Amino acid sequence: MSGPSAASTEVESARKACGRLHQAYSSSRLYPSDHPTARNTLGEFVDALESHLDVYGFMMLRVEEDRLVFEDEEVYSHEEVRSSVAFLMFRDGIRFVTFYPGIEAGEIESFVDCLAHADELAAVEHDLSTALWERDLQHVEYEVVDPFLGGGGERLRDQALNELRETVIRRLSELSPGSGGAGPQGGQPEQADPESMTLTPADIRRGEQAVADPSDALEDFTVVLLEIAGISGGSPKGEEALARALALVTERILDSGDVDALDLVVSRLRSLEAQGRRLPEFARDVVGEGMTSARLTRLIASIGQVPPVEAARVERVLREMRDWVLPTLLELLAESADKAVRKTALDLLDAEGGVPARHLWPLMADPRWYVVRNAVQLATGSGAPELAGHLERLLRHPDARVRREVIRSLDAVGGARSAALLARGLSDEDPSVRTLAAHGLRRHGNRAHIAAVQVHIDSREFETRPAEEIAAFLQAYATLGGEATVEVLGKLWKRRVFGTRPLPVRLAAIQALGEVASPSAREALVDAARSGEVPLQRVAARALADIQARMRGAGG
Amino acid sequence: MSTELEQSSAARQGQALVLALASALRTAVYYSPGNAVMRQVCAALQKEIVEQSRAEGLTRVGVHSHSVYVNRARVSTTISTYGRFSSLIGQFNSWGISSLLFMAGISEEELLRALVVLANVPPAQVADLPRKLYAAGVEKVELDYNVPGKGTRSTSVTPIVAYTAAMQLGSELGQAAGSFEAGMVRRVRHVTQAVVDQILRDPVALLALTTVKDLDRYLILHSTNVAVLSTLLGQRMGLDKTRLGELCLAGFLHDAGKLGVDPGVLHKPGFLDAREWEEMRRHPVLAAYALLSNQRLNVSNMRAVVVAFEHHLNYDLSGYPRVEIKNKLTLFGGIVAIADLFDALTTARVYRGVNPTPPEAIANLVKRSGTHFDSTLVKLFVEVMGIYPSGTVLALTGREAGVVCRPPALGSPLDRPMVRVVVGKEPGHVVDLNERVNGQYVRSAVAVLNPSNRGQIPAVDPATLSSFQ
Repeated sequence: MSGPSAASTEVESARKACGRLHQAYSSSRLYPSDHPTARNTLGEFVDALESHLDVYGFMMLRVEEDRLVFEDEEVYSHEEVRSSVAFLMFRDGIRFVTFYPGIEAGEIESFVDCLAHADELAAVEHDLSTALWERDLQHVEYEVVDPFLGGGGERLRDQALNELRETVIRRLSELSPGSGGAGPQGGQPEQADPESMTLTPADIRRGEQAVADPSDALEDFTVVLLEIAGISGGSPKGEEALARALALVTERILDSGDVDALDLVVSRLRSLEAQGRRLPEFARDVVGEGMTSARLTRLIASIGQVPPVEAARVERVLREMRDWVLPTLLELLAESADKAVRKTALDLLDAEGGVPARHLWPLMADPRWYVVRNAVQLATGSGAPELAGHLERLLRHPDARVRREVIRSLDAVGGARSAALLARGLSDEDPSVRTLAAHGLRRHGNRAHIAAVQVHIDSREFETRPAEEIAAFLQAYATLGGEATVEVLGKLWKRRVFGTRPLPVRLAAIQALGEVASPSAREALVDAARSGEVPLQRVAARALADIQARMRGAGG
Repeated sequence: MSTELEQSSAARQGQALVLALASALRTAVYYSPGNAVMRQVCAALQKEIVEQSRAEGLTRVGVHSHSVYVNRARVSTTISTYGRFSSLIGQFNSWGISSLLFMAGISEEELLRALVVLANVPPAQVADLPRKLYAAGVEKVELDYNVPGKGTRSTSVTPIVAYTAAMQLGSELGQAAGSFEAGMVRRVRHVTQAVVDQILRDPVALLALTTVKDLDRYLILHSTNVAVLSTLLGQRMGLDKTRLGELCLAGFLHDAGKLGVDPGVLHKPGFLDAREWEEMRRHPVLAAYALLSNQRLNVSNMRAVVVAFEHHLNYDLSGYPRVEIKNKLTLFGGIVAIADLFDALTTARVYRGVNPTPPEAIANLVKRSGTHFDSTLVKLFVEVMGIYPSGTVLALTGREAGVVCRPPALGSPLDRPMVRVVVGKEPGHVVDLNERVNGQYVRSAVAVLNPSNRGQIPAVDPATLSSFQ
């Protein structure tokens, strides 16, 4: 018996090539194109295919759902359908693929690359046959499923052809007999002058320019979407599609860093909102949904990376879109590791009316001190009744930086409840917190709070506290207590009989006396002004001048 | 990886080579080898071959899908090179070859001998080209013949198949009332690709089918016709295959919005009043909505939405819908606008007093150049269609009359198309108005006829519609 037949050898050769195709395809999905494994398997496929074509001429494969067939013999199948190149091609409508001699390695690589990325194509509603069509491979031909098959196959095809033929016959028969004879009918109709249709060099230049520099599809599309956004009358489904498309486009713009395009989108949406042609929710859906913290971070970070004019533009765009991206800004405030980004986010949030307080309560329970601090800062202007409760709780926050912000907030809010909490702040372990509390209490407290202040002034270690704190406490004491405090202050500025009284205490006492609008306080200041101690004299003189100025102002 | 500069330089070099080859082959038809002009073009070609061979040692000029390739790189066709490129492609197709290979070191003399053989081979002897070249002492030029299909079905999609598939799809889209499910979108794409392939193979094959016209199925046929006409114009401009595919798709879907217009207005067999026009003017925006509803964002879908929105905008933006930020029409929008109006004008309506003939439709376009339409695009469209487009009924000298069945060949006068004689000595015979004997035209157009006020009549012979071949 002779060796294998020529036909079976040819089939084996095709089988080998298909096997190598599968390996090259699998490697291309797993590895980048320059990876040795990907390059090796591709090279093996190239060799196998070229060998077959050199010997047997072209190789035509019939593509079935789960296998490839050559000359009615199965030459490829794969147990896992989803990993099968046959299924991949079949799924996208390819029914035959033919490789021709002369095929080059680049074409083969392009073919394998198309297969390897077929699933990504599906995500954007592209398909494998279109990808192959666009690659326009010279030595690879493929055939997609009959265009009619999707609608009913040969019956419909024949029907369409019959209709076409009948239409032509009918139209030709509509021409009345004799109407096609020679000679003009009713004078010469208008027609173009061939001479004027000659392309000039300028025409050629313009036309070639238009082809060589195509407009960006995304840019054109964005402009059209923005135009449609200004036209009313879409169906609910259409409106939803419009918003979705604009959102996708905006995401792409953000990812590309195209500030021009982003400016256009934001300005247009703002304009439509201002004119009442679109509700704020529309822009929030379009811009806000796609504005992840990563994208917003990149945008904010770009401020420091571009020229000043461009940076100012980015800042303006951020301000314009602020309301639409509040949740993301808050997320940045909480999550961003970059201090500069957090600062920018905070500035944006703090501008133009602040942030609805409901967004901030969760942040006040965050374990990170700066998140809590920023939330307190933003909540201060909200006027929300719940705020006081949160501030009271946060007075016990372990981080002094938070407690400081709480005190500032209480100071800004004011009122009786704030005053009570400020009084509590006087006992904080941190000097800066106590200082701020004293300042705040001075503005919002009353006589009922004198005791809270005095207990500190009377304490032994009071005079060892920082100068700013001592000054703040004594001023608060004077403001709240008035005349009743003159005696104590009058003693505090004087030297001790035994031991020393720190100068900052003495100076602060004199300054505090200046807060009391009474003759006895004035008298004490006069004494201080005559003390013979220059620093004290200076401060006392200034305090006296302030009193006189106030009295003149009050008296007219 | 080559830089942009290197790629640009390579592209220019490739184009120079192709133009030199086209020029040399054409010259070799008319001039003897010793002629100074022939020597000059041969020298120019050899210079380009030497330049090209520096990098790769040989130079291969190939043709595929109506594109020219030098070695592995596609050489872009432009408006100004289109004629010469088409001539070269036609030459390759007539020889049945896919590429010409020039070896490094080919002398000017050997190249000249090769050109003489190639340019003068009789059609019946093209299979003998290798032997003839060898006999002429040419060893450094080789040919790659097109591989005939061994029962391959890759050319089973003929112009008629592509056109009727598009018609059928248009009909189904109409029944789906503009709803584009994913499978439908894919079929639209495949059908428009088939249309583009046909146009690349034979730019004029589908043109005749666009003259069929049927008012009862206007919307269906109109989508297909606009797709075909737009692609023809795009091809003339030198758009590559991918962009032609996008353009064809956009042309096919440009009126998707009409399915949302009040049917009473859409199918009204008469002129529209002001309110009805207002309703009709909604269709570009409705089209955009319809196309957005079921589609993902890829380049071809985006371009289709843009074209649907702007195809009535006009070149000077004076059309509709009114725009506030858009400041120019896109290239595709400009192309589809021209195709749209031409097909609309050449579809006869019962209520029109006079249905324009195709030349009048062309004149209408020309009149609106610079305002409604880009003037360059109009000129190119006229070049593609001719002054007497297919479906024009002409009275000819010699008391003949016929229907224009093909536009003038590239490079021929725009008013000298191919005509199928209807009245005359040989009815059914196709004559070329560009044919000359002793320097005189054999026949010329005397007048444009408008029999039965039908405007454009079918240029396709119904007998050719008996099968799909």
